[in-house]
Amino acid sequence: MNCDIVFLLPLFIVTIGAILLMLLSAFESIRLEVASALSVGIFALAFLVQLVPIGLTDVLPFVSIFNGMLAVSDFTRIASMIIIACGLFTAMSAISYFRQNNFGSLEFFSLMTFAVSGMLLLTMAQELITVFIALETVSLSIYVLVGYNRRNVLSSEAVLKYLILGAFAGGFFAMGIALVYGALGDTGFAAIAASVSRDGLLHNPALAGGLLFILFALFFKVTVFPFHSWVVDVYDGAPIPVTGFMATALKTAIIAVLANVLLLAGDIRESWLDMLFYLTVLTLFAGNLIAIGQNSLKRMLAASGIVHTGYLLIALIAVSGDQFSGSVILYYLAAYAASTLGIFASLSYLSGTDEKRKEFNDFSGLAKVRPYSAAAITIFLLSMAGIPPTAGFMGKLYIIVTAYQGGHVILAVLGIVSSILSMWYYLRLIIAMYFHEADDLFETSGSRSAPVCAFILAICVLALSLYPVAI
Amino acid sequence: MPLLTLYDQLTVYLVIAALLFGMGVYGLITRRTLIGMLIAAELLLAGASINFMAFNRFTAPDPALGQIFTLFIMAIAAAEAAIGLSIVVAFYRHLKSIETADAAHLKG
Amino acid sequence: MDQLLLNQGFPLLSTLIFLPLAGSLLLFVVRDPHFARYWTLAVTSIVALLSLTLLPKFDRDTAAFQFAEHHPWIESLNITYVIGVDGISILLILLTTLIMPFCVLASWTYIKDRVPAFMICMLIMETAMIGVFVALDFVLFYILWEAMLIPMYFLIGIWGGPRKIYASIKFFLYTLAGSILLLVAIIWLYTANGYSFFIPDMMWKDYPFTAQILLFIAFFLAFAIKVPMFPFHTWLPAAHVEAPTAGSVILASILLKMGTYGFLRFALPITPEATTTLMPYVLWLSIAGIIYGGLTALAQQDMKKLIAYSSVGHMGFVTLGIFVLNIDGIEGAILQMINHGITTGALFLCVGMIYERTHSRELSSATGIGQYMPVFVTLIGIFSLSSLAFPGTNSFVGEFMILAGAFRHDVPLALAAIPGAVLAAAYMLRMLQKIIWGGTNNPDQSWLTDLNSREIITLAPFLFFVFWIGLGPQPFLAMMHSSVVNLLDQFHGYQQAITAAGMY
Repeated sequence: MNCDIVFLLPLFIVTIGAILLMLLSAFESIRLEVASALSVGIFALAFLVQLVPIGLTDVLPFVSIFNGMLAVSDFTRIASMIIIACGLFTAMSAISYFRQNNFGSLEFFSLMTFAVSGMLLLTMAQELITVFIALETVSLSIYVLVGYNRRNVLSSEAVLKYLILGAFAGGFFAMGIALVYGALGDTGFAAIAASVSRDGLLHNPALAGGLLFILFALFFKVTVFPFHSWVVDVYDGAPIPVTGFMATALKTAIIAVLANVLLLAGDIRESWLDMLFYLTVLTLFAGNLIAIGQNSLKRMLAASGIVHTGYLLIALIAVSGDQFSGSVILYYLAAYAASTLGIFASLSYLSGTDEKRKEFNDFSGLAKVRPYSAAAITIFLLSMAGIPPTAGFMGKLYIIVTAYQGGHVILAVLGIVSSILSMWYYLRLIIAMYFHEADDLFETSGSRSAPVCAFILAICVLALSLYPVAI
Repeated sequence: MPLLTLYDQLTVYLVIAALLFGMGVYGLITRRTLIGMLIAAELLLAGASINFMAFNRFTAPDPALGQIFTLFIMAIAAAEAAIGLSIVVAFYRHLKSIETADAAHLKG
Repeated sequence: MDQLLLNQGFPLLSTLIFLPLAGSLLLFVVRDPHFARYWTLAVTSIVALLSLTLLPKFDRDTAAFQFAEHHPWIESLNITYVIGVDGISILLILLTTLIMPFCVLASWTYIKDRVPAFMICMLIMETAMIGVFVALDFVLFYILWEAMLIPMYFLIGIWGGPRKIYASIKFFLYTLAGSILLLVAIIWLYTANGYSFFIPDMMWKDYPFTAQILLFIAFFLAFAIKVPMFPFHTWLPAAHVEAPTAGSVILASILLKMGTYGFLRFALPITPEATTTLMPYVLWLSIAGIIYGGLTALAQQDMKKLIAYSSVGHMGFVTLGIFVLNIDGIEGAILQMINHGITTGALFLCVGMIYERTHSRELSSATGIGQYMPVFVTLIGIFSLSSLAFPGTNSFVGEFMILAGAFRHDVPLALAAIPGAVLAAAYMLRMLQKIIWGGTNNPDQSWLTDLNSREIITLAPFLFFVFWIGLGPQPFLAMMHSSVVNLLDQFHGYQQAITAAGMY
């Protein structure tokens, strides 16, 4: 098949771009803006290529070479588009951030592009070893990005926590693959699905145990309930653009893998429905409880990310495997990514020298001094809280309707309850911005790139809600 | 002599792998120094690698897969250790210590 | 789809909805306060004039939804953009569009801070309010219903009084909590109706009895909070007191009507059986609201609070009229919705005018101004008389019809509502007495200036409608008659079908 190359072209573009950026980093005379523009260009090109539609059915590109370890479909295509867009906006807003935080260097963009290439591979992977390698590519890049500010003790501590726990999860993941491999002699999703639907999950304890290990490792990465505690500290310590990138792109990639693993054969999901149900409920409420107690904006956003994971889990539980098109999950991810990236882009711009503004109170009276920024942040917050007419509301509506149709009434109701709870902490920032007097001039860097990002994303949030047909 | 045929039995390797993995988990939970925790993380991966090689030798239809994956794991473990050590160095510069108890600036 | 009379030619309703929104876009760019005032006045006036062109083409003899527009929107969930008006909603739309220019006028000098942002909020409010009254798709309705909260939240929270944060959050959380249950009901109805959100198709279906009860409770909580009915009213005085004048007027005149509109549009047709079962409780809650509102209003020292509590009483009359379920009651209730919008809106404007002069809403600081502001006290006197349902004013017609309906339904019930009318007279006359004459120790009011022409122009149309509806309510009743008759016919037909089915 000659057009196979088209399906993989975005991956190639991003990977080659990453290597190119790494080589360029050797030249000290190149300015950060150039590297940023270059990576934006790479992402934009990949995004445009990705716009070519594929059709709903899975296509296995280069079967003879890749042995069916990659599959491309509309689901992976749109997930990739979300990830690439996340990379693009992060690269753009990072420039504003590095104007005020003096530790930027060219490798930042290279590492981010490597992470994106790993994520693209994750969405397409149909086999556990590929997943592992892609996951480690992503993780290793992100470890470095999280600890990018070596002079800051918080940043070092955050990356330390993330690295140790990430290594733990990686070890579990590898062990899980080993067990699955021992049980089946194969690591392809298709083989796993065939075995489970033939004999049932518990027929083969090694397989069940291995899959459980793998699920735990993935749950760690997307902060499902018992594995969520790292996220608040790591997000707090990481530089703002990296936090935004992790919260959106990484989550999209891992959720895509989870969707591929869980929905591939209905039986895998069925066997764990009870466990998933309780984890979802606990994730929703743990996230809300943690978020309510935070005073720092970044920590609140991290905790609210846990809640959004809970919603995505509802969607994973509720969509049925046979007619899975993933549109519910993808729509929610797109809506969530647009609003989260928007907030982090605004923060990249507004947080000031060395991230000095990070508490709710630091943004008091923002609306008086910078009305446009405050309005954009309000749109993003309303979208995250799920209030119409924003994309976040449509995403939640999709998920709740799907849960209801799938017979998961309790989850639908809990989803609604949790959205009321979440109002508490989203409103706090709006109150601080609008209803308090300003005692800060909110001086910022001269760079317009992050505000431009925020503006585009605000339009996206509103447009996605009015024309959800696009997905 | 069963002792001489031990090398040719799957169970033996699985037990060794499980021991390594268990030590890794135990080490990660109980160790108080960063280097110790990094070593424990390596042990986890070593356990997984041994499992892979054992399954590859005794049960798998395709003899290449497990070996290739073991090589990958080694490479990844090396990369992880490199990053981990550089972070430990950065951490040491701040606090003159590699005890995890000193890493308490973040609230959670 | 046979309930729709599709609009031919110019899409008038969509224009009404989106014109204010489009107008608000310009204010994001041009941030001159003076321009913002004139521009918003122009946009709202154009919308008001356009809405008047609905009248000649409105067919009074049909209960179908007229000027309807129907476009697919989100096909994967079967959400459509479908709008239309009938006899119940047309008066409310006209009330909305006609009152908005006067709200802008009332804020002309009252709002000094961040004027363009204020006007943007007003225009977005108008879009959402008109949209709520015409939406015939449940998701569209819900989106607009919620979208209304945000500008109102900012109106109270930014331009409000000293306790604005408390008031705005209370308002926001109360209404949000109510509408979340509405969302659950919507999703249930969606699945029960073959995955369609089209509202007219959901009506008069034989949903199981328990489902109807649960749906009714969900509707009731959402709408009763908005009305607000007696135990759910606590957000209202706080919001009214803190809101700027225009915010209070919009809140009283239009937002409260959405609750009662919701009862008529959704609760009655979608859950008729539950309505019949739970009707007595709702009726007695209405009575409790009437009495409670009256008694509390009698004790208030703050003029805005007084009017806010009187609203609780007046809206109690409206829910009473709706749930006695006969033609007099419902027509009276709809008319009273309009009346309350006019009268209470005007009273809030009057209080706002005093406040602009004395910077106090305390009754004690506004005593004895009759001597110095003769025009003002004349006007507030007329509006107060209208509020206590003095014969010849608009509220008299409405309350009389509601009480007539109540008497036809149940005599003790109607008798229980009578003290409410007496209380209304008591608290309104008490306020009037203090404002006009006061006592022996009035503060010095001689520096007060009487109303200027802008203020008189603002109040004049309200005066006009007070007497028009009071003396010749026939044109208004004729507009809603077909729709109300149809509603009741369907309702009683449904009851008979249920009884007939039960007999066999």
